[in-house]
Amino acid sequence: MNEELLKLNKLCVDYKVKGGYLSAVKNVSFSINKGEIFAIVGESGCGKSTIAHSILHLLPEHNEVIKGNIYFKGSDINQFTEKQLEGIRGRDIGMIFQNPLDSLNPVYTTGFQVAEGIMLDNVSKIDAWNRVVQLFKDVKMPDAEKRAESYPHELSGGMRQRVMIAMMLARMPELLIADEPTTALDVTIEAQILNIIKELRDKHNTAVMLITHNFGLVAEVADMVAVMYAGEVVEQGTVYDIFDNPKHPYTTLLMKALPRKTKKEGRLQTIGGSVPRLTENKPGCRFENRCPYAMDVCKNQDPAEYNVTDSHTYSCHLGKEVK
Amino acid sequence: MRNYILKRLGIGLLLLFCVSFLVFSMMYMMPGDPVTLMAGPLAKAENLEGLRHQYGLDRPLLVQYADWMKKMIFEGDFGISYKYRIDVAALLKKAIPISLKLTATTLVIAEAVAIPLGLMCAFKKDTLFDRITVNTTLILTAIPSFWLAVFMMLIFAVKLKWFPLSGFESWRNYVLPVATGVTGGLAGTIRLTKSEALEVLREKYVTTAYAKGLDRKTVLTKHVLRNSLIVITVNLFMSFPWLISGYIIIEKIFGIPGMGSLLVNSIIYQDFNVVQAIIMIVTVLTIICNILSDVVLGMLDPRIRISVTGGDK
Amino acid sequence: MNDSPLKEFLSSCYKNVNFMIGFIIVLSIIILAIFADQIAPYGYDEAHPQDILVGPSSQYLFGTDNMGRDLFSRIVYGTRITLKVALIGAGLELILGVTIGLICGYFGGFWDRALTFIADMTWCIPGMIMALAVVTIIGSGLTNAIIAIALVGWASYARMVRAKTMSIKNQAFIEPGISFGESSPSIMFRYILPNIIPVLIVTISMELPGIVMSTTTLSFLGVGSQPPSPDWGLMVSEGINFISRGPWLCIFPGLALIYTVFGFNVLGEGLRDLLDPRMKSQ
Repeated sequence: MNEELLKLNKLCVDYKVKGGYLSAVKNVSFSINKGEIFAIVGESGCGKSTIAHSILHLLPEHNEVIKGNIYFKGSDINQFTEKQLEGIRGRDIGMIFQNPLDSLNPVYTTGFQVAEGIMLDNVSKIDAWNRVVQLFKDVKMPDAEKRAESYPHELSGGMRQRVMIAMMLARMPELLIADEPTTALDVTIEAQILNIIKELRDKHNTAVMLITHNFGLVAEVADMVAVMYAGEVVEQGTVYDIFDNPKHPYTTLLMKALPRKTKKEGRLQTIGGSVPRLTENKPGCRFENRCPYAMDVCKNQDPAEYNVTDSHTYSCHLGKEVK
Repeated sequence: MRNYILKRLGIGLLLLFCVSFLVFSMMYMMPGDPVTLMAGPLAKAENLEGLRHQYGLDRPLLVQYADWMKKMIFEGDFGISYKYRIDVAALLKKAIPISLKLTATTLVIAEAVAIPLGLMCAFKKDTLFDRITVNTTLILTAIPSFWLAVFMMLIFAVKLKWFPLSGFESWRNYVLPVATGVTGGLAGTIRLTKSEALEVLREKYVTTAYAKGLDRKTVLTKHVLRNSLIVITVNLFMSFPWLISGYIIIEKIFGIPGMGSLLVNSIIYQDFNVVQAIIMIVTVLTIICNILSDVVLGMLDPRIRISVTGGDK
Repeated sequence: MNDSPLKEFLSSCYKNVNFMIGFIIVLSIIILAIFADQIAPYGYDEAHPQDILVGPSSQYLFGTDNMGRDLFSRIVYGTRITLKVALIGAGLELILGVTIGLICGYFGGFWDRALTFIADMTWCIPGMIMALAVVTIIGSGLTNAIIAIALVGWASYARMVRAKTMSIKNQAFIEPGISFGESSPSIMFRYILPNIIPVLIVTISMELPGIVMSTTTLSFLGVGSQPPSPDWGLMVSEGINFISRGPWLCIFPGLALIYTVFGFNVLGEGLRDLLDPRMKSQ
């Protein structure tokens, strides 16, 4: 049994706006074990990217309030000072982003940018550079030395993402947060990047928090899955739990909306309405206005969490009936 | 990279020739004739013809132009001032260093003050410091330089009598003109620096830099500052011609015998050779500044180098 | 919430501080200009030889100059000159810039290269110097000064119009016009022009302060308005001679200028916020 690496406990992220707060993430709790690939899925705007950024306090605006506990190897890093966070970033927890061109500084060579992180560990320039080249080879970058001396705009999208991965793996972090790593890439490149991620888990026991809206990816690679809607986790479990035995209405509808391998499902189902972006913090289920099973209680009471198995939980008032 | 520079140089030279030809022919669009002015109202017509021939003013325009350019470039001969009856080059030799000293000092001080101010406004956006600076620059941009100069003169020279009114003997004469120039030039650079720094701060690669574990100081200097410098440096180079042009007024008000005063006086007295020469020099300076700023741009931003000389590697 | 678009636009105008302040300032200047005869206590040319270089008082609000003319009245009449400068100057730059920009953007090719090259030539000589050169050739006077400034400034207009025209040209809704065989000028007027109007408005309002300042500076240098015109720049330059005995002669015209330019500046920022939020400055 792998030990617990990251544990989120009732994480809330609110944005301060004129006249109050808007809730982007509400009461999110889950844990990730060592060597586990944990996928967070949901439609655009559901808050999954916000969670990813708030773990390391990397949210771009500076008017957010992050409440709750983020336990990493036992310590609550949500209470860490900036200096302490600098110590973890890159070294214990790495993060790769969606669009690798925007995420790399155009005026420095890729090699320099990767070496920058390595040298934080008191490694000499020469050693750091050698390590960079080795890392590039590890992520299967063709012509590693030449690429290290190139600038980001001279590389293709897939190569840039490899640079990002190399950059964040350089110091061997135990957890890698991947925020939509393949969304901006071709399918073939996507497959290669996924293989790299799988190798990380298999060879180095690195845990990966994979943020995506692509269920195909999740099916391929994830061990555990959390489904998010409008800032809340509505269901979580192993990948088999979610795909074969979804309990929450939203998850069920999502599964029905997926094109499956067999053709006998008929027309693809869609879910009417659209995701609310940021909501005020009102009680009640956030999926209520689009849920085919909505009841009166859903409007004014937060749904409780129900267990299907030890690993599989979901939050819905329907759970009460099932008992 | 070399191709890029050569291309810029080529265009610059072409512009230079076209503009210089325009400047030269400008004198011929004027009513009146340099010779008539020189000779004065009592001259006789025959003498005028002789004078014209002597000065080569009866040759076709293009020939005169070629001759003028040749003399300027190879011999440093800018012709003779109709008013002072001496070499224009001599007049320029006295006036240009003065203007250069003033302009350079102003540029250095203005940038040294404006760039840090702009950066601080960006980092401390929406704080009291930011708001005060922004509003002050808004007011500063509305103040015309000539009025500022007069105002400075009024307060510091007339009322307080700290500095002399005009002339150019000691360093004291520097203070008011430079102060005027600096105050006038601050606003634009502050606004530009602030907006550029804010843009860079929003870039995703800044988040990446933090995600790597770099501390705030390193991120702000090596990533934010370094990238903001691109636009800031271009602005620096382009400020120089603008300053030169603005100094005309300042020189006139404070009675400084620099290039600007010389230009204005020569226009009033219709001393065309001087006017032509000064305009040429300023044009050359402007084109050089443009080329320099493009070159520095290429050095600071690898993306530019590649896109001008060819496709991606 | 079904307010008409016009109503919504007007209400957002009200809420924009910049726009309101700018609008009020500019409006005040327009009112002063139109009703100068009623507002100014004396004529701008009216000399009172017994009251030379009198300081600000109840009789002469801003004092008098060396010919005994009331400064306040002169400044009020000066608003007419300022407005004339703003309108004609902006108008000229507009016509020149838009025409050339449209031609460059729409036709491309040789015309584009040639005209762009000419536009490039305008920045080779820094503004004030080029304006002085133009004034040297065509002579001094307020109108000529305005022309000179317009000749210096049209290039940035043209560049912007050119870029916009090119981007609009490539959009699909032009095709029907072309396939119907509409003439080029017609296409330019009916399709392209309406789409660039918001950007034009914003750009003009940002150019206005510069035009006013530059022309006034030319007057200050003596090559713009000529005496006894109540041009504010001219008044400052005349006032320098009496700076110790009558400092108000330099101060008040300058303040009037600052007030006006500030107003145009702020109005421009407001218009930019309203009409083109993408161009918003930080």
